Amino acid sequence: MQNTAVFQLEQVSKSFGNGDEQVRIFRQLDFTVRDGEFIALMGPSGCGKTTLLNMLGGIEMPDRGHIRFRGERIDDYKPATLNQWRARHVGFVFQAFNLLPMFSAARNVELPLLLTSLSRAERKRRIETALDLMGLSQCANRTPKKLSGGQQQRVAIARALVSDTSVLLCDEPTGNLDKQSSNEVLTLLKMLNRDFNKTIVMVTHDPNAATFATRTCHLDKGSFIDEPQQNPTAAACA
Amino acid sequence: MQHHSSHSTLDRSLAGECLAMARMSLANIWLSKWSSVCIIGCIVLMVAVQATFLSMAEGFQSSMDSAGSDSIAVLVDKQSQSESSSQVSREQVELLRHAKVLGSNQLFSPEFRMSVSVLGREDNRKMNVALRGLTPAGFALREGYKIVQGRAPQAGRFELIVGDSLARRVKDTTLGSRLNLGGQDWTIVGHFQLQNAVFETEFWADLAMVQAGYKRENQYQSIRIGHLDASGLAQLRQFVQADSRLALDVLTEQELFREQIKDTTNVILYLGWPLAAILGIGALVGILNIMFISLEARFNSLRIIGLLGFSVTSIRFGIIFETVLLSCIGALLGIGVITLLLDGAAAWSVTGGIDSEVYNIKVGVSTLGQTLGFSLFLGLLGGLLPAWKGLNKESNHV
Repeated sequence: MQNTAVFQLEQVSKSFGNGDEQVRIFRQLDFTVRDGEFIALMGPSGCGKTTLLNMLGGIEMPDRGHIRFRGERIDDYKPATLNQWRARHVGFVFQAFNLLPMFSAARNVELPLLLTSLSRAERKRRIETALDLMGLSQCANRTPKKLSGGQQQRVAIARALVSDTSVLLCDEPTGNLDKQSSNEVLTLLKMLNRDFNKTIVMVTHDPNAATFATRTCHLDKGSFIDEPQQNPTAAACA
Repeated sequence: MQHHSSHSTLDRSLAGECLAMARMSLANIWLSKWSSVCIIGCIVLMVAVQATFLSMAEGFQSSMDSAGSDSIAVLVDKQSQSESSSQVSREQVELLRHAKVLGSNQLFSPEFRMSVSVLGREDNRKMNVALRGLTPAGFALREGYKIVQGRAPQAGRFELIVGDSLARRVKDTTLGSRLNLGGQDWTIVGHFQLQNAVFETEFWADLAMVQAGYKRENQYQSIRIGHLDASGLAQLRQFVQADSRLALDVLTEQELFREQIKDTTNVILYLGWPLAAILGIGALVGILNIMFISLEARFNSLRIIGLLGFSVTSIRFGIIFETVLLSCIGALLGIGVITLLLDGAAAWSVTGGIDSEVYNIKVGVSTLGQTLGFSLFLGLLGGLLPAWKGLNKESNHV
């Protein structure tokens, strides 16, 4: 299972801006994410970690090269198809939690399910399961501002999980959390990867966070740097 | 939570997405209370003005619609087409009085109508009302005419009777009161009512005395002839057309009133719609500003909704739904306020500078439909532009 490629970036180039203002982020980058991996993407600010994550999630497209998901190119999808693909396969977790302030935790978690044909009862069951898994059963009816930062991030993870996507893309998920909350969130991500075979790609600056991953990839100036991996199960990046 | 287990349930339909976005918009209306209140306020103000004018027009039209008989002919000067500016000569009256085309029992009423200045009962404000001189046949031609206080004026005396609606508005109209009109003292001897209260807005007196009081012995303004069936009316028209001395238009009473309705209703609407349009532009600018600011604040939420898989179309729908719903609430509130304040209230129309008809303001289906329609249109525009422009940068990310 772990050998199957979930994402393949092939000779991907990406830059922002025009003319003299143009900033090249990647040049002919290759990258593979395999099924069941938990990858920590590290590197200095501006090296392209978030851009890479966004390209995996279909939020940004390469200037050149291809992105494949389970062998199928997604870089030539139309926006509507890309939206559908994203809803089916990818869950996002952000540093800023990004919960909708007007909704309770349960309603926030329900959002991706509103795109499905699941019955109300089935949606309720899934929401309860997701919140329970995140240890938030007691907080289902609270709005985000009545939750701590750690709780908010766990609601965000529950939302990313609830429609049972196979991939979680996490952008600095612990960036706004204290150490204890960070460890709780990272432990949950680790559990999702280990016990539920979720493929996780996590952008982080925190070396401690990277120790929870099965592979750490260091980016600098748009390329991966070969260096000893922090985690024993680590493999080569490209 | 095993992956690959439930992808078949991801059965997206745009309608389902739009429904979900509508639910989010409802929640957002509550969350952004002040923005919502501002949008509703803009619409309420615009609707209040628009509904006032439309309900006046609707009330006037509804009061006048059934007024007038189709068996009574009214002859007015060809040049004027309306009674207030018409002039009919004694020669024309006599030609018609003795016309063979009219039977001997035909009610024939030459009438003279003057604008007179009186004082309002409540505020002493000067107002112009009509003083009409009639013959006994003229009284008999009025549907439902009855004296409710006092008696009818006697021939050869400066006596007045006053319409019940007018008596409630004008000072010195109790029985026995004296009014000085055109330098002549007149005594109020009675109050009258008609089947349609719309026309209880005149002073009535003996025709000859009104002409004498104003030194217009040879002048009339209209002639009423009744009751005529369709062939009698056609014969009368033929007769009038055939004689070049009778440069008169032959209208039925109903036709005359319809002409009057059209003019007055148009005046109300010509005033009302431009005002509503100006206020509507103001309301639209208000809605646009508020929505752009609101979208700026919600940019991140919208981005997340997009990342969760909601299409840009459904997100746009949500924004438009929000403004349309707020506009609808504003319109209903505005109409509600106007209904409470004005529905059923008495108003007067002014024709040719004379307070001529009394009617009840009516907030009816027409007013409701037009104000609601206009408000929803503004709500649609107010949502469309922010949804389009605000999400253009959004759609690059989603």
